Amino acid sequence: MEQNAIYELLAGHLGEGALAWHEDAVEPWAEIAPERIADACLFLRDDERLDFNQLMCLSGIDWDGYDENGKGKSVAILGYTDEGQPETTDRTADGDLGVAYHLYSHAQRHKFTLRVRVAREVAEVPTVSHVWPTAAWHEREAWDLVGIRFAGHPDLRRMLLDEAWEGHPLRKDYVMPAMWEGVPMEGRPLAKNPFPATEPATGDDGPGGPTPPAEA
Amino acid sequence: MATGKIMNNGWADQDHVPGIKSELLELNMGPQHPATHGVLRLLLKTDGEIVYQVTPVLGYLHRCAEKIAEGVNYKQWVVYTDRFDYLAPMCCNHAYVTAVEKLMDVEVPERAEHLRVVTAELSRIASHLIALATFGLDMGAWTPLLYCFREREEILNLLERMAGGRMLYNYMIPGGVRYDVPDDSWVGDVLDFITMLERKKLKDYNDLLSYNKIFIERTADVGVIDEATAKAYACTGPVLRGSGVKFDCRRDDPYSVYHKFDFEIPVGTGEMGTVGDCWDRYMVRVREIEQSCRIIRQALDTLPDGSYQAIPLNKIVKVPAGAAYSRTESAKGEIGHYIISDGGQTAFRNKVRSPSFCNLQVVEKVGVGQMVSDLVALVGSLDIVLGEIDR
Amino acid sequence: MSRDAKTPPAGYDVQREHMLDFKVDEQLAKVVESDAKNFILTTVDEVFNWAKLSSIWPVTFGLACCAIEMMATSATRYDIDRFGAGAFRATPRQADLMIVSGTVTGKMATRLKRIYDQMPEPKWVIAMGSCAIGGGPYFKYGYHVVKGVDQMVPVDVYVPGCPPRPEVLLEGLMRLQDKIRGRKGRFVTPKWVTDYAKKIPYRK
Repeated sequence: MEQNAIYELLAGHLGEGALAWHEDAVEPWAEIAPERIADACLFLRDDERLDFNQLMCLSGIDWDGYDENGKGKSVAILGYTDEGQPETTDRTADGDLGVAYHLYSHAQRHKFTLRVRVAREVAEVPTVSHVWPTAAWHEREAWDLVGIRFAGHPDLRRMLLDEAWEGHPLRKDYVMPAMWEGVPMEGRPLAKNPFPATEPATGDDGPGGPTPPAEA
Repeated sequence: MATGKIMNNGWADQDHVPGIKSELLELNMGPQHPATHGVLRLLLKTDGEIVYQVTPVLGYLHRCAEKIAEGVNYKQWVVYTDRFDYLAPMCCNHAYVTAVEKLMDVEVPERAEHLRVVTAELSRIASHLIALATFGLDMGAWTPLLYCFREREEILNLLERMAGGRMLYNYMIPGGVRYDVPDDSWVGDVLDFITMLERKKLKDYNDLLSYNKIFIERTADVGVIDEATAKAYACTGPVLRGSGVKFDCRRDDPYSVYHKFDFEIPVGTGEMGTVGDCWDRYMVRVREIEQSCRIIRQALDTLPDGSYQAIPLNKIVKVPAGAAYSRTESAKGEIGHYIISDGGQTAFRNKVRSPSFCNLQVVEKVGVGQMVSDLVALVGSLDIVLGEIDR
Repeated sequence: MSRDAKTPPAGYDVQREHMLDFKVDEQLAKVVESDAKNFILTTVDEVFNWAKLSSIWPVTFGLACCAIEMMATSATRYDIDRFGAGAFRATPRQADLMIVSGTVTGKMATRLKRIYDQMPEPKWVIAMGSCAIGGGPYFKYGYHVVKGVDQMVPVDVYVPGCPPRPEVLLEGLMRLQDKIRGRKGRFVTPKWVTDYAKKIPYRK
């Protein structure tokens, strides 16, 4: 089925809940009100004309610092310096968080993309894990890395990081840890090259070799 | 062993025998365990020998690749895609560059597409060989590993001549491939190799492992994933096809030049037991090796002349603002990249949907009620790679 | 072996002293041929070291990409068994060598330390691959990657590469054997390597 037709069916079901339809994008996508997302997903799965039986992907997104003009001027993320110390910033993040859903139907052979957007302070979206069981792990990962809570999730623990980890790494303002639970996460300064590119040692190069070159 | 239902007959909850208190045993399998294919940790609750609950604990190889994608530019990140599924790095390269090209809307030269298909299929064969080897190892058969690694070394040699690296290649770039065919004899050597593989070596594996009585006893009717479960948990690749679903991105959602080639999609038929058991998933991989050989032969026979890079190697790639999800068929299943670009040199967000991540989730459901030894068979037959589960 | 090395053993023929030139390995042992039979003069330490280095049992500790190369090293073509290190043990309590093959993450580091502590003395560690050596490609943004396993456990031999080829791992194993033997390793770059490196045209 055509993307526009799918959206019309969905908008007919959701009414006010369907916020916008971006059909000019590389991949057309529908913006849904966060509180209606579970409803929308149930409709998309159960309507026999649509029959979206597979959730291909669920992605959590931190929209903080996104360059709306498309010039590539988004805020740079923080990492470690060359000395291995965490970089810090004074900027406070204020952008929204979002979730994208990519659906596929084995029977109808069509795809569809949904997106929701919530304020950073709210950071909560209804779960769709009762619609597609595979969403459970994707949502746990989104909670772990982006910090979006999924209301109604049966087991919302961290997926990849430890339960005691602080912060959500894929947020744009995440400051990398220097130490965690006694494990050093910071790097050490780059070592000097012990074998500088000088003249190679002359003489017998057999096994055992001659005298080693002097250290720099 | 029946699957999918909890075999709790009351031992766990009550004093079954007067005077003897029994309880569930909590057992850690992994992260350092020879049968978990890496650093997977399975938290088991067992009732005697029967698995009562299984909880995979991930993240022991979480290497922050998605964060790195927001820090390095598009070409640099190809390096990290190699390290997702390090058994089939070319397939991961292919998935990523396909997604970037979808956003850039760039025309890739035909020759580059053919070279991509050839290298990706060679990688797929190498990955399936490892899958056979390690699955045999889990089932107690050491010898097939030696045979499979022998052929894998041949593939690595061919790809090394092509791309320069032995195991991880960084071969594909947005808009083409890094290097052309290295010399005149390369194409002939690949054809020789796949002919040898088809005619002789696959028979070796079947004699050694596939139709071995002990192996069939261990895998047939074990760990049955039915079609509904496979679809609900978004299983893809050999796991889905082993459950009898004829679905392959290469045919059903064509990318690159796969639409030009003629190949079949092997599915599980329940030859030795039930549809969707471990043996079916294993056998799908063996048969996919044949089909990959067919694809390679066709791609090399029709290898067109011309350029192999649409974008020069030293040019920095800038991707127009937008978002796109692209999926390709890796050796493990459907690998998807959701790239959000802000128009610059660096992706704003790059979410990777890795096949092993979704395939592994089914263990939570299917693993319950199995013997512990059958759980090893189930996890082995899923053919997971921790590099792409944890990313 | 209990024989004093200074006193000539029974059956020693001074006339055939030139046979002392028939040295298999002067660091390891002295082979003296007599009319009756061969025997070896050496020290207990050297015999023990020779025994240790000849059967290094590694623990099965695959972490990431490098683990596949470690498997390849133990498989058909490269066959690490030739050097006595092919018996991969699933439990650290039976192992002498830990090949840290791959990226060590924060979650794994504590487990790695525990596995190392479970290994009986004497024990050795090979850091395989650039991730285990110093974080490798995950240095800059790797919030969950330990930048160098030598921050957690002492490392004897560093094997560079991403991932190292099996030949390089074998070379690292032989350097470890040198170390166990108490011999200074060959750490001078051969001349042909430096000459060859000069000829490689590097891209600007």
